[in-house]
Amino acid sequence: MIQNFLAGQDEAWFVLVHVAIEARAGSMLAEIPAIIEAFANGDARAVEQGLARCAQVWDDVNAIFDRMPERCDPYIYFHRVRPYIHGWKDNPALGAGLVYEGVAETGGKPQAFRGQTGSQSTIVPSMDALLGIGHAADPLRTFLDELHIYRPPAHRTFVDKVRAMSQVRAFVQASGDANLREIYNTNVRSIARFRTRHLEYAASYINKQGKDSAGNDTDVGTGGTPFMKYLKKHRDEAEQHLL
Amino acid sequence: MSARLSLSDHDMSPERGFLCSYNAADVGLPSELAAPEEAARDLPRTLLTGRIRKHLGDLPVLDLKSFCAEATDAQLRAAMVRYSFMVQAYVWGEPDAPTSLPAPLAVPMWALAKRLGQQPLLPTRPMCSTIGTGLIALPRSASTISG
Repeated sequence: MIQNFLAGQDEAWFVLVHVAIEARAGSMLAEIPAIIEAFANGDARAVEQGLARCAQVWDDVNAIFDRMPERCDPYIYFHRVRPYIHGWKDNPALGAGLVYEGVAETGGKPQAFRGQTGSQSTIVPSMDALLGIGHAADPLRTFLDELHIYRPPAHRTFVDKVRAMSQVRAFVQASGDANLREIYNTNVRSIARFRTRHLEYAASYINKQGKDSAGNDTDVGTGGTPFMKYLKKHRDEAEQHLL
Repeated sequence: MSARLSLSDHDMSPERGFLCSYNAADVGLPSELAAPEEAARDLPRTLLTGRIRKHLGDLPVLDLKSFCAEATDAQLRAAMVRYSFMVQAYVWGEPDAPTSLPAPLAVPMWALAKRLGQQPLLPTRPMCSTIGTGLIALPRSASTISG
């Protein structure tokens, strides 16, 4: 690794699992343009094949995610890795933000930003967009929307375009094709499984740990969110999109 | 409906998804960034001193205007990795959170984030740009994580 905080196996593994998931998901993301084209052409078979390849990748992604505990211990993560990745927005120790000295355009006012969080990954939002999975408009949805600006601009526009172009869900619904519906549902279940695992990790790696400082709270996410409620709700909403 | 979606239009690839397409360890930074680069590399050692704010607060205040104008995308991102890790370490590396970030970190962090269209702290993507050898699959054995 070229950059660390304290370094060590647990920190390295935590980052490596993220990176391995991002890399593996590439071939799933690569299916998206063809799937969108296929439904636009009314080609149910091509949509089905594309979704089947996505489902295979989801299995690999979920298998990688399952390996987090192999070399990233929850106690070490909570006390030696997590303290450094918090932001300064809605954080119990620094909720109002931080003055960026010497930066004229801030006018000397504190600036509040959310910390890095798995929710900033663009994989799940991309697949949510492809599959037409939406989340109810409420304060938790606002958090999710707010995270969008923490992604690189080119990745933001990818998700926005997929959401604008994809009518895969309506296409599957209208097709009356049982195989197509089943493979759509397999993808939805895979996302729900990923979200369930994330929820389990949030419980074991954070929520069940012993709080050691105001900034490293067991109930507040690194992004400043009430994450247990948030993760559970979005998992449940994904499952509600089974056809 | 607009033209066909293309991954390459969005800084993405089938091999690496949303990760950067190059090997982060291969990216060199100009000599004006040598001091912050070294300070960032040193974090595992200096964080242990309990006086990380002194270490980082003594860095020069770099005006990165010309760097931001001339650097490659890979160099900009490499500098973002270094500064964003130092900003996080400064804020959370001592027991009580500070109210401000000193100019040696705040000024370059702000300039880089603005140039990249990102927020001036550590987001997920720079964190995922720390794997140096292009190692993007998890080792199966219990061998040491390298790179």
